[in-house]
Amino acid sequence: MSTPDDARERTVRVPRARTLGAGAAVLAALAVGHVVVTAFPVDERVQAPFVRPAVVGEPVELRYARLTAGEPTGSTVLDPGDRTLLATPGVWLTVPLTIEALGQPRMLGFAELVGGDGRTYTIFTGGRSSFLPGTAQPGVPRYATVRVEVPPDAVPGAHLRIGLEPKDQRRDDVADIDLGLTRADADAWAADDTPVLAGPWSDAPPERP
Amino acid sequence: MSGPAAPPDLRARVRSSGSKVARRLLDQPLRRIGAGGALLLLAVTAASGGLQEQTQDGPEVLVADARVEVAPFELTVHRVVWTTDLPGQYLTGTGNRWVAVVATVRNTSDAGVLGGTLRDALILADVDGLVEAPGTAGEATSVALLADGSSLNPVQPGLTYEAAFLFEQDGSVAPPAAATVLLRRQTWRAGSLDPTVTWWDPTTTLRGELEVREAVSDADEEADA
Amino acid sequence: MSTPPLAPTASAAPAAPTPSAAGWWRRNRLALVVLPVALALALVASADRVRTLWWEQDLRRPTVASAGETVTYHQQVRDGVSGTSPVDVQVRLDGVGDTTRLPDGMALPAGTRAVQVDLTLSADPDVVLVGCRLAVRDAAGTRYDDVAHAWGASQPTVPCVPQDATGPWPSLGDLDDVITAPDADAPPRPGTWSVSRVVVVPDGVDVADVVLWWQLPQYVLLEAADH
Repeated sequence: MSTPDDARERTVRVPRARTLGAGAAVLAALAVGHVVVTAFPVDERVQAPFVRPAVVGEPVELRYARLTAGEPTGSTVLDPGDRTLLATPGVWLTVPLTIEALGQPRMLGFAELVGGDGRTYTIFTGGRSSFLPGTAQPGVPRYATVRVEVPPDAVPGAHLRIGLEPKDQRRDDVADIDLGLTRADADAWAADDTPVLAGPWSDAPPERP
Repeated sequence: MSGPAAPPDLRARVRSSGSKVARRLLDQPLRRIGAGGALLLLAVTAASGGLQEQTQDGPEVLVADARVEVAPFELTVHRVVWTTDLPGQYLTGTGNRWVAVVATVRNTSDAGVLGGTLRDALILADVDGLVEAPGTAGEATSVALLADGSSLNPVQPGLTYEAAFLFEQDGSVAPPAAATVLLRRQTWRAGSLDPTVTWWDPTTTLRGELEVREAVSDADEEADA
Repeated sequence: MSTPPLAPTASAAPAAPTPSAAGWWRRNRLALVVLPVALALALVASADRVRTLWWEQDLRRPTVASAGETVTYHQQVRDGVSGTSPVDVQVRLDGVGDTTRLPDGMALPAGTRAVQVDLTLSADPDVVLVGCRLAVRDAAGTRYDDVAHAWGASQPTVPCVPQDATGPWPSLGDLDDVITAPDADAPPRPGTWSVSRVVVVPDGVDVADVVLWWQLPQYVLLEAADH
């Protein structure tokens, strides 16, 4: 009498332990998977752009172009070269760039300023803060100016990032140029209202050295 | 099937254990236990992030010269004026006029945003005869900076701009005496069709009716602003 | 009662592992041979995007003509609306060389020189050819595009057809009734014609070939005379 009941109990309990163990293993796998996916940003690392650091005055080699940044200047008033003047509640920062396309004609479309305050200042092809170099032919240096308005706090330690595709910089080279700016530069520009020139692109080198 | 669902050996064990809770539970039909279990599971997911914040029922009242947070901006609406002449801005039809909402704009996020996101943040309602592009109901045609008349695009973080949201009104309609200004906040998320993360879903959170008067003169406007 | 069977099993146990190890290799030899092939095929199949998103976004499939030779080129070009239109044309490179005769108003940047490219083309007057682009390349493969409006000058926008008789333009679908085509009043394109373009290249670059294309990745490669 007890043996059949015991046998039934054993058959009921042992599979239950196995199913519980299997259930626990599944839950553990889900938890581990969740931790792995959220703790390590694998997707971002695999798709991240290749950042090439540089400083002002030194050429940086990218896959598609060689860039050299000139001395940044700034003021509270900007002259875009079309007989208007632009004012700003912060300061204008302009960086002249020399672009030499490599391999085939290239049109650089991406620019952004990572300010010393950690914020990202958008620069796009049209608008107040803009970078419009046009299509550079290989072997013919293209001179263009990046202009961006920023609060004076963002100037010290600012980095300029330049890339090829305006919307997608994954898996391609991006130049990260340390502009070498200090608090003194920001204060000088905030107190200055002489218009700083940021004209359109040209293939002729700018007059001043 | 509302009969007892438990197999006989389970019932025997429950009876021998003497627990009243187990007997009561066993007498319930499986359907109810299933529903109870499902409710318990839902409650557990709610505790671990399954709940999403809902907006309040209706928009709050918008007051002039009060600074309000409408993500990603902080807007202070000063006044609404109309004028037929704005240097640097071109009307699409002769006799049309500009209705301008003068406001202070500040981008409180960590990155610059484009002008389209700013135009989604403030819309005008209850004004007849607005000339607008198809698909942009109540949105401004452009946002002009008061200091130099240029279009405010991109809106950089950390800067406080004095700007005017410009709406064009048909000249055959009388100038408005009052207008309803709606402020909308937006959500930073990935799009449903493409993975780029940007500002979506403008939702009205403030609504106010403001008096509209004729702009005194441009020089006075800039002096005021 | 249970000890006697131990002895024979003990003697059998050491003999078992070695046959089973060799047996594993023998049992799986077919799978092991196929494994590298399957891996290679899986890599190739999952790399199809490399072809469509990168390889085919550049000039990859040439129709080659040696110096002075006429080549027949055929391609089905996707037009902007839907469907395709055929490009059937014969091209010959008459010459490519330095020139001092610049288009009106062109000012060469420092460190560059002008190169004139002369082509003769022939096609049916109803073939749409206006989507073409022209460039010269050096021996290293660097491409220097022909730019219509640059450096102060203004050459005709389309490099491969006569300016005053461009031939038909691609259909714009529903807009055809609203917008008049640019060739509405123009005479039909002749069966054979010549074009001449001035391309700016840096000093010290020798032109190795001239390339002409309508839609990537196919293109016409015309080798220059002394290469």
